[in-house]
Amino acid sequence: MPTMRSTVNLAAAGLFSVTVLAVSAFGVGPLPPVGSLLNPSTGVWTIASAAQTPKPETLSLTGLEDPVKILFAKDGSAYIKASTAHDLFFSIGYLEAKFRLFQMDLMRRQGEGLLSQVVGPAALSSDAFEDTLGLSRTAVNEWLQMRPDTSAYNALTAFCAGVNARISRDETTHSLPYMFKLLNYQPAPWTPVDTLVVQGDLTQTLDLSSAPIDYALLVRSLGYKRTMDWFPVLPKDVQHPYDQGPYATGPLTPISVTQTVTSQEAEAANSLAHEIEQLPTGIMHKFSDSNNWAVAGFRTASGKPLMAGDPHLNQTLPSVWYQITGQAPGYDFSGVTVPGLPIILIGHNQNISWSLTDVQNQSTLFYKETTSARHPGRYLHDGQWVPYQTITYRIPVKGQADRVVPVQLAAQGPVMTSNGMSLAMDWMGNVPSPDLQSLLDLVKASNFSQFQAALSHWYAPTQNFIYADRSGHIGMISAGYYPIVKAADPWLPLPGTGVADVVGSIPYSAVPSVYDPGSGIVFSANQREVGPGYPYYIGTTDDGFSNGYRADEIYRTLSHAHGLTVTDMEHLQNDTRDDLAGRIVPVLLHALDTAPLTKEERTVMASLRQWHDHMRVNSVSASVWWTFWTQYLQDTFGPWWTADHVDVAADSDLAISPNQPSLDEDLEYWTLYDPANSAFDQPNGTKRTSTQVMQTAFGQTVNQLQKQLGSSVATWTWGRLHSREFPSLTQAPALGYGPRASGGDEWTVDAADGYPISEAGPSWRFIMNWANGKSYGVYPGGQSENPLSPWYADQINAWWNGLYIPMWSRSEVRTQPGTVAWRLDPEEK
Amino acid sequence: MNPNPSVLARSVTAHERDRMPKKRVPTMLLFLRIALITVLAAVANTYGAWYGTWIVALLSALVLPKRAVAVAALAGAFGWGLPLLVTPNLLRAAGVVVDVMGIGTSGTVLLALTIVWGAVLGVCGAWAGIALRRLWAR
Repeated sequence: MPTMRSTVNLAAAGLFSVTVLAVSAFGVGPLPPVGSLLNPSTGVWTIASAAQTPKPETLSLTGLEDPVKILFAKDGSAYIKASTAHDLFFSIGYLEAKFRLFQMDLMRRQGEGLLSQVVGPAALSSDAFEDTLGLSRTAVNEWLQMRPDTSAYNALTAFCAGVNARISRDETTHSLPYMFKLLNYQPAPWTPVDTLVVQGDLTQTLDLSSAPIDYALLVRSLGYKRTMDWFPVLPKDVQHPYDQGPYATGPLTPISVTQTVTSQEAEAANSLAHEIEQLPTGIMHKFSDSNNWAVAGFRTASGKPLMAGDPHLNQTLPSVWYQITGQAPGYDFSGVTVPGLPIILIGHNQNISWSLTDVQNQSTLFYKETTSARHPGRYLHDGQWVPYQTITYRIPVKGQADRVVPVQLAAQGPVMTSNGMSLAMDWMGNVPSPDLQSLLDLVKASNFSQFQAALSHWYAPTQNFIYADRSGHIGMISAGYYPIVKAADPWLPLPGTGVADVVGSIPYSAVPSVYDPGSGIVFSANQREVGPGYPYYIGTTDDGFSNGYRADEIYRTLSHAHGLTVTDMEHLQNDTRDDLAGRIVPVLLHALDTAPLTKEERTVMASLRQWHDHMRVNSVSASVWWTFWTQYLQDTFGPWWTADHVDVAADSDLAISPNQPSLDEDLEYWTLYDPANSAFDQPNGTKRTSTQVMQTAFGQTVNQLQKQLGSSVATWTWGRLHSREFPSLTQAPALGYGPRASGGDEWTVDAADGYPISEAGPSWRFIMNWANGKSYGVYPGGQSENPLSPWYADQINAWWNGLYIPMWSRSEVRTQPGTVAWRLDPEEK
Repeated sequence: MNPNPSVLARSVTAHERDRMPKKRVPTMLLFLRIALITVLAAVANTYGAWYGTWIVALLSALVLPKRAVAVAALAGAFGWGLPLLVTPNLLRAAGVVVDVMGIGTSGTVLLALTIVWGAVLGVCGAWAGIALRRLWAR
C-alpha cells in the first residue's frame, strides 16, 4: 500500500510537472509556449543562425523545372539566372520568403484584416476597417479575372510555389523567423490572393484619401465659400506641371455649385474621421510622395539620358523594398520589388528605365446614401429602394472571442459609417486592376510605345511613370483611373441616389503624359501634373497634390543645366534647399526692416540674411525659417479656425500646419502678391496685412526658440529640432534606427515628412545612366528582416551620407569581392 | 521462524532504501549520468522535442534515483545552455528577443531563463520519476 507520504509526494511532483509542462506547451497569459520558445535548437535562438549571410551551397527544391543560379552581392542584393520564366518567379518567391517572410505575412494580414489574430485586440480597428474597405474582396476578384494563359497568372503561381517551398523548408528545419515563434503561430501557405492583397496594401497607402470627409467638416465650419477659397481646386501659386499641353479636348466636369453640409452629414463625416484617426500609420495616404526626373542627352555630359527616382514612403526596418536582378528567357531586369510581389516596381531592363511617383488625383469619392425607416436595410438608388448587399466578416482575436463585422455594400462601394447617416465609399483601389500583368509587360518593353501599351491597363494606384531609354528618349505617363462623376463638387460627399455615380475615367489617350519634350527635362514631385487648361477634373489642392516646392526646386536646378552627370543627379536627390524659403525669406527680411527688434531678433535676422535656404542639420536659420513658417500659418489661419470651430480634435488632417499644401500655397501667394488679403484680418474685423502678421510671427518665433533651445542663438541648429527615425515593424525601439538629427524638411527634394521626427521620406534612391547602362541605388535599410543579419540596416549609412551602391550586371557581380553563389536544383522525384 | 534475510531485504521499501545511509556514488558515474542526460536532452531539442529533457530526467530517476534531482537539474541546464555556446552573437540575439518581448534590452535575462528552464524541466522530470518509483516500489 502506498503511504500517504509517497502519494502526496507523487501528487506534488505531478502537479509541478503538469504546471511546468503546461507553461512549456501552451504558455501563460501573454507568454508564448516557453518550451518551444526557449528551445536552444529550434526556438527563438535560431534568430542568430538565420542571420548568417548565405554560404555557397546547392539546394534541392520541389517545384523547380531546371537549375537556377543565384548570386548574392556583398550587400545582399540577389542576381537570379533561370532557364524558364517559371523558375525565375519561383526563385524570387523563394528569396523573398527566405529574407522577408514575417514582413510578407504582416502585409497580407493587414490587408486581409487578420492582424488581431496574431497581435490581439490592439489591431481590431485596423482589421475592421480593412474588412469594410475590402482589399481582400478586390484581390479575389482580380484573381478570378486572371486568365490561366497569361504571364501574370503563371508568374503568380510560380512565385507562390517558391514562397511555399521556403515556408516548408523553414518548418521542416524549425527555422521560421523568430517573430513567428514569439507570436506563436505558423504562416499559412502563400496564395495568389495574398500577393494581390499586398498589391492592394500599396494602393491603399498611395491612393486612399479622406479628403471629401475633410471638405465636409471644413464646409460645415468655415462655410463653402471660405473653404473653396482656402482649399481651392486649382492652386493659387505658380507651379510647374510636367505636362503643359496642348491637351486633348473633352467634356468639362461642371464645378462651382454652392453646397452646404447638413448636421447629419457632418456627424457621419466626423464619426468616420474619428475612426480613421484610430488607424495605424501608413494605412491612409498622408504624405506627398516621391520625386522622379529624366534629362535628355543634350543636357548631359555624355549625350545620353540620365534618369532618377526616389519614392517617398514610410521608412521602416526592414525596408519596404527588396532588390533583385532577374534573367530568364524574355526577362532581363534589375530594380526593387515589395516583399510579396513577384516583379520589380522600379528599375530598368536592357533598354528602358522607369520610376514612380504618386499622381495624387482624387481616387476616393464618398456618397451619402438616402435611407428610410420604411425601407430598412435599403437605400435609394436610381429611384428604387435597393437592398444593401451584406457580408459578414469574422475577425479572430488572439486571446479573445472572435468579433463579427457586418459590412454593407451599396452600389458605389462599402458603407464606411452609419453614424448620422450612411456614407459609402467609391475608391478606385477597389476596382480590380491588372497591375501585375502591366508590370510584366513593362519590364519587357524596349521602347516608349511598348511602355505606353503596358501601362494602358494600369488602373490603380495612379502613378507618374518616368521613362528614359538607351536610344536617347525620355517621357512620362500618369497612368491609372481618374474617376469622372456626373455631378458637381466631387470633392464633397455626393448624393448616393445615382445622380452622382462615377461614369468613367479620363480616356488613356488624354491622361497627362509627355514624350521627348523640347525642354529636355521631365519631372514629377507630386505637383499637379497639368496646367489650368487641362479639360478634366483630377482633384483639388487638398487631395494630396504637393505644394509644388520640390518640383520647383527640381525645375530650378535642371531647367538651365547642361553637362549633367550622375553626380549631379545624386546631389539633386540629396538636395535640402527649401525653395519656398528662397521666395519668402527676402519678403520677411523686408518686413522686419521697419519693425522694432530686440537684440536677439536682430541677431536672428542677421543670420537669416546670410542663409542660402538649405535645411542643413547645423543651420540656425533653418530652425528659424521652419518655426517662422509654422507660426505664420498659425497666426494667419488660427483665428479663423478658432472662431469657426474647425474640429481638429476629430480630424487631425484639418490642423493648420506646413503639411497642408493648400494653406502653404495660399499664404505664399498672398504674401507675394496680395498682402492685404482679407484672410489676414481677424474674424472680429480688425484689419491686418501680411507684413504685420509676419512681424508678429517672427517675434513669436524668436521667443519660442529661446524657450525651447536656450538663449544662445548660435546653438539653435536644425538638428536640435528635427530628426529622422526608421522604426522597426516589430515596434521594438532598439530594432529601429534613430531618432537622429537630420537635415531636410517636408518639401525639400531630400524630403523628411513629419515634424519634429520624420518617419517618411526617400525610401529608395535610384539613378540610371544610359551612357553606359549603369545604375545605382540605395535604400535606408537592408535586404534582410533579421535584426542580427549584416544585411538588416547596412545601407543606412550610405543612404544617410548621400552615397550610392552600384547595381551590377550579372557578369560584374560575379567578380566582386564577397559575392556568394547559390544553385537551386529541382528535387529528383 | 526467522524470516529469510533476503526477503527482509526485499521488504525494505524504495523510500526506506533511499533514506538509508548513502553509499558514495562514484564521481565518474555521476559525470556520466549528467553527460548522458545532457546529450539526450540536447538531441531531443534539435528535433523540437523540448519535453525530451523532462522524459529523460524522469526515466533516469526511475532507474537511478540517487541524486537524481541534482543530476537532472545540472543536465537540464547543460542540455539547454551548452548548445547556445555555438550560437553566434549570443547576447545580441538574446537582446533582440527581449526587446521585442518588451522585457528590457539585456540579453542575459533570456540566456538565464533558457538555462533555468532546462534545469526546471530536468528537476520536475526527476522528481516525478522518484515519486513514481517510490509508489511502485511499495
